[in-house]
Amino acid sequence: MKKLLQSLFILLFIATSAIAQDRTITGTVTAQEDGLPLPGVSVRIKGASNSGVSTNAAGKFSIKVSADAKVLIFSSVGYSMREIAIRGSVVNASLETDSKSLSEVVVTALGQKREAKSLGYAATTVKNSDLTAGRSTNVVNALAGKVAGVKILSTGGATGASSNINIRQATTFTGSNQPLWVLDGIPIDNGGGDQSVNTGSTNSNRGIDLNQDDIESVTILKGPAAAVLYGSRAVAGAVIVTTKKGSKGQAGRVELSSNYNYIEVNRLPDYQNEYSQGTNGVYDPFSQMSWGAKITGQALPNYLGNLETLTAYPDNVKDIFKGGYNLQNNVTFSGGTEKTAYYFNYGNFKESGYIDNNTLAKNNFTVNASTQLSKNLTISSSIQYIHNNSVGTPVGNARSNPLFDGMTLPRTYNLANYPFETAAGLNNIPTSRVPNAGYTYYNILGTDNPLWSIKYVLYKQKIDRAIGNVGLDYKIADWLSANYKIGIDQYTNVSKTINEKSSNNNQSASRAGSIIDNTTNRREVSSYFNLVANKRFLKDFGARFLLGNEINYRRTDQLQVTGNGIQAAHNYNISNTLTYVPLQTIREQSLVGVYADISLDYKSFAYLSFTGRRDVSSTFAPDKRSYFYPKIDASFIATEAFPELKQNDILTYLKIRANYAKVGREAPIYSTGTYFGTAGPSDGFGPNLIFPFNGVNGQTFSNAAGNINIKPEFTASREVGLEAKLLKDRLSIDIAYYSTKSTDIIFSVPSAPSSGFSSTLLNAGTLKAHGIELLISGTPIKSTNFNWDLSVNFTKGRNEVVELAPGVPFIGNGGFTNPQGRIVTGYQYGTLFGQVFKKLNGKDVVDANGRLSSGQINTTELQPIGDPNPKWTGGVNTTFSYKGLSLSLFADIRYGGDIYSRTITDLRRYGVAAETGNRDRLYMHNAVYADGTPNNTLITAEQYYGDLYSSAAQEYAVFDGSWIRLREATLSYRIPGKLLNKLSFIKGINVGLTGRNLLMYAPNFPHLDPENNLLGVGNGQGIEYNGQPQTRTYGGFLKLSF
Amino acid sequence: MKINIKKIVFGLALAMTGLSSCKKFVDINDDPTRLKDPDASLVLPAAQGRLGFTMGSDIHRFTALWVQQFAAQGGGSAQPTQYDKYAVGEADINNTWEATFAGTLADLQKVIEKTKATSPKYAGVAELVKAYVYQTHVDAFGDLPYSEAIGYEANLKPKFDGSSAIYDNVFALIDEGIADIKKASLLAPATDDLFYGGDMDKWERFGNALKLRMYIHYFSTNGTAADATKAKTGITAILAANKLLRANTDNFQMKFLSSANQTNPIHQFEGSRPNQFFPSKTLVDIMNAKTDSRRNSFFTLQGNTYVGATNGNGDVVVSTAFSRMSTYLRGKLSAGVYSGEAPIRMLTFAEQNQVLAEYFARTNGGNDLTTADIYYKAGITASFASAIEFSDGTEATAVTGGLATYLASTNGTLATGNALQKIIEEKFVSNFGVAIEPWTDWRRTGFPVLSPVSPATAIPRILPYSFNERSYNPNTPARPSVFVKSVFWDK
Repeated sequence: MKKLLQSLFILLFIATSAIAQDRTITGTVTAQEDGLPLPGVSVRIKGASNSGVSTNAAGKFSIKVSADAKVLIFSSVGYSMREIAIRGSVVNASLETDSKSLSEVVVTALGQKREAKSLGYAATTVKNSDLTAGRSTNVVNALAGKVAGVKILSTGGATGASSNINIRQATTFTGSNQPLWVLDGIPIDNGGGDQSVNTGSTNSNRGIDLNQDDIESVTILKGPAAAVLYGSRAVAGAVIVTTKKGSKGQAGRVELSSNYNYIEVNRLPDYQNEYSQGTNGVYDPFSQMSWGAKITGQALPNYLGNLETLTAYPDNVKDIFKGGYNLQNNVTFSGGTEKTAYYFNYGNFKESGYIDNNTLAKNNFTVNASTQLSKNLTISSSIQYIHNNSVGTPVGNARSNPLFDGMTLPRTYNLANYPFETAAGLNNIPTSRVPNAGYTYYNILGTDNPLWSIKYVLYKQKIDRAIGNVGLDYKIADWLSANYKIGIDQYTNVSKTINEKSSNNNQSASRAGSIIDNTTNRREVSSYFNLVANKRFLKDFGARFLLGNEINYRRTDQLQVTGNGIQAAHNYNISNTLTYVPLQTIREQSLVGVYADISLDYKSFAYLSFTGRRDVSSTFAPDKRSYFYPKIDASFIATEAFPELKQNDILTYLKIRANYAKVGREAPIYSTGTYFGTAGPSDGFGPNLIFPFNGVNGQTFSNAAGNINIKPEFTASREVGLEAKLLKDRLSIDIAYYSTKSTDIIFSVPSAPSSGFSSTLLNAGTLKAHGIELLISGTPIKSTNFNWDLSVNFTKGRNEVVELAPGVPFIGNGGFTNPQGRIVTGYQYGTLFGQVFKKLNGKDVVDANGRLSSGQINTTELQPIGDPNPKWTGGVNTTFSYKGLSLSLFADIRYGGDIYSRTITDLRRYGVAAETGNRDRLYMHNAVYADGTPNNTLITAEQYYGDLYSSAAQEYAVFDGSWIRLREATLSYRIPGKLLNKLSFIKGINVGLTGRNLLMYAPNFPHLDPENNLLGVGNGQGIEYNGQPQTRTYGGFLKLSF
Repeated sequence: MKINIKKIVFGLALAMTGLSSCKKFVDINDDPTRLKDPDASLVLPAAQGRLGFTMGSDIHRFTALWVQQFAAQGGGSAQPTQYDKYAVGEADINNTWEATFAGTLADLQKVIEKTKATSPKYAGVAELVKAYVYQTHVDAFGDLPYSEAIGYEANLKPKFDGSSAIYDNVFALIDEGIADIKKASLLAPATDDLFYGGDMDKWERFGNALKLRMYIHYFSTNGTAADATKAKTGITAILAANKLLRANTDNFQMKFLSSANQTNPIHQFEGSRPNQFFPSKTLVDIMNAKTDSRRNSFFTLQGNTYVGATNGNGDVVVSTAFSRMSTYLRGKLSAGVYSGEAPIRMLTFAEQNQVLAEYFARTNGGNDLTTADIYYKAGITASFASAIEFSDGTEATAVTGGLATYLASTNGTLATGNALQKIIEEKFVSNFGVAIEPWTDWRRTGFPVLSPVSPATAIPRILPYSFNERSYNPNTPARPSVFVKSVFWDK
């Protein structure tokens, strides 16, 4: 620290004097697109060291130049930089909008705007038009496939479904691999997207609260080097969200926008429609199977005891999914005066999913304003208020999940034909195989009627959230400024889980029903103080120095009451229950960081930057809580160092970059000790015991041991990259190779339960990752009226689990006892393990009856059955524009990545899938008998599919999840200005059509869209478990500006 | 320029001051909502509650299916049908294993550590509960970590001790426990003792009854003379001390409540997994053959009769046309709904009587059939009394009305030749709902006579070790097969 301060002062004193200035140039800058004046454009003299001037509200500027000045440089975010030679005293400029312009100036960590060429690390910016192109409800989905190195995996098609975002592979075992989210310089929470496997409804990641229409751009800081200034919390990278602002001097502007999309399931299974409910070729009205009699119009008694003519219902599953919609409206006011700028937006969003009672309604209010208080002091503030109100139905491995067997309804069973509730509005599920007119569903195994649980088993959530910050910018001198920003992200999440009386799930013991009322308050306060010095010296050298301090405080207060045993049905007041389990948690943590960054450049073509940061985190014991980590990065612009490279007009820009960084990661909160907690014995079948019991409370010692000696985990990363622009910037290429290595990984190392602990928190384990990223973009056709832009990105990344802890062969990272995602030395991160059949010379071993019966399953050790990590992913984005008309298509490609599908297991085992309909022939397992002789026993289709897709052995239920999909399509038309002349109050009209997930091709994945993830935002992937299928949406939009 | 520098220095000084006072700001890593050292009165109920729950959960299902008190139904995807075919895998054991070791035993250890010096009545109760846990779990798993178990961070890989050695340790532990509960104690368990409400006299009686149960295990089909001598010596001493369970009110059991999520776990399972767990044909047929009137409260009628489900074919022959368990295991029946408050019984007065009956019936034991018959009848009487605990008037009359006939018949009277079979079958009936022990009785006596389910040719004699234990503890012994005799008394 001392040394850093010293260097600061040395820097301060080597200031050089200003250059003499002796004449004045004036001019006007306009936008080429519409000819309107452009305020806020930076105008500077080429080769000069000072920062120049900006254009005013009328687009006018006035700059003093020295006699030897020859060229002015005009630059503005969103427009191509232009150099214009000085001839006379007036220089007018017309700037062209630049689709790639945001790569020129990048918002990096801590809101520092940096020239892209100076960066020695990878940062990619996605601008608003790309975020709103295919209209996704969750802003995370809008990033899918667009940024090399960033993997997005949506949980499913439910309204409000979370979406997993992973940048450059996993870097830790059980901690979060989700990046830090920063909104206008202040960290915000994107938590909440985890899914429990056996209970609950769709959980949204809190990023869903943001309004995409409010966002100017999203910059992805990939990995530790880019994000090091954000410290410990940005090891997994950072997502920097910048909201729209008004511009100083811009005339007041009103914009209205509206879009509407229709939502439907994008792929439903193919069913057989020849055979009835039942087993062994016999109709059975209580069976969940469709291995019954051939449907010939025979009349048989159903589960209600009524005679029924057997009929196939090809659309019985499809009918569960009604079409949904979403509708978003925005009204925006923005503008500014000479000294102030303001932006106000009100956004209203409503979505109703394809299943009833899956809704999301959002109201977003945003106010961004800044004003120049004095010559040197600017104050700015941005504030958002969000109200998010959602309702969902159960998901996952719960019998009240409407799709638990809703996707596999017996082919002769039509939900609409029977009552789904009793007169009292309850479930009445068969308790025996004796038909009874009072039953509300056929299923003898206790599954709730899907229509009933859709109507009554609900999860309701209300979020009230405020995100705001105030910043002060003080220009101490031309070359020195100080800024301070303090911000808060605060929300209250009030939820009610209703497990209606008579529902069957783990939260409704003995179908008594339960209500869970939960209030969670989360608050995060961050404060940043930065000092920035910028100086050129010794003619060719530039230096930039940043010294700063971050103070971060996070607190979550949760108060929850679970009321078990609903008394009067349909009354969801918590006091209408019998026993109560209260829960209170307080989670409080803080972090103080001090950082310094020195960037040096030589003639603006060679850059070298050093960063150091020291964090003090509350999550460690006092002697371990302070830790330091460094970063170094360099960039070299060959085309500027050797201008001769540009001579032949092939190469216009060539940059090489490299970096090394190391970042420490915090420990889980309160893990330095081992605590007691309220006892709650349970088993995996639902039964449980709650305390207080009979008037006494029970405290049990945690099975997971904390550790006072835990110290920070470190992730070191290396990266090299190359950026090139060719053919007069018509083609650009960006290639990166990175590798990371995490050591001293903090995780709960499993231990033998006989020690009293089933896990102990340790610093153990090493995880490596490496990958390449490629982005090629270009403009194959460029003419006055017609443009064709094309960009392709490619990502390939792999992990290597080097070691766990001594004596620990694996740890689980999500799923069930089997199948289970595991982290195992030598395997890919999260490899799926499951039960397989016994093998002999690589072939399955059948029993004496030629069956792969339960005794033929190798139950001793789970075997690897799939790797959920895609081998590579890619995106192709293409835009055709002709005058005001533009068509954008975005294709998303994923190659590899295995998925265990429980739905497909059930479709085949239950005999409802189309391929199970061929029952006129016999089948034979491709297997051997125990003695090694080939199996030659013929079995029925029912036996065949029942064996291979039994839920006990998963090896044949794993499918390659490769896909190509038309993720987004947008056709838009900007009505030309001259047509609008008659409507002088309207400045612009933009109309269009959008679609999302319009086409999907998954050659190796039957029946469903493979993009489905039981575990949500958790680290585990590759398990689909009766999930809500993906959606296809299409609609239109209209934007008006006044 | 000068002024600016001053400002910077001032600003930096401020920032530095902020840093030095940040110690308080970051000293917040102590969870304000959880306890690190709660009183024993809060920990003992957690241990007891978990034990009571566990003994009606997985380990009851596994052992009750294998010994054919219950049979599984519901098709191949219902896990119990797999257990019923002896396919209990290591992973199936994880839950019960962790609950017992990292839950019950870990909590008992905390109670003992905290109270041994000043409040030994707590420590003594915890020791007696621990003794019960080890007795039952040695019978179920054979060798277990004992001497090095529950060492927390100090020993994450405890060694396994031999089952016979653990039995010896448990005898000593019972003595230690009984000694502790008699000591002066600063604090003493009261309502926080979910089993005996702080009645130390009952705890002592239970300790002795537990010893009796353990000693009787030394009598096994191929038991040695030394085994018999050890048992005989032990039982003689216990009888001399004459401090045993006196009535059903002394039963070692966990009472449950009728409120949601506080009902007994056997009852809860019936609610969450209906039609998967039925009384076995083996048990029902034994009782049918004796026209046992306890059937009124044990089972529901199927048609006009009692029908048990056949073990081992619930995965293919799916049906619900069987008798189900009734008030004895599920609590009071009112308007078709069971209250769920029936206890999980763990060691009953009826069992104690049958243990003594067996001891006296054995020629290498008490060798006194007359005394054996007295205990036999007392055991039957106790079981009948227990059977009406949750019966309404009609049901109680129906059960009790059959007792006199039953006692007077050959079913209620021991005779030379088949005394052991009668005693163990009687125990098999009265221990309906008791985990592990009926299976132990079958393993050491071969009664009741059971047929393995198809296609197996034998009935399992041991549970597999937990997958997690085996994976993370290299000291875990290899376990070749569940069909191999593995507990020291299983000869």
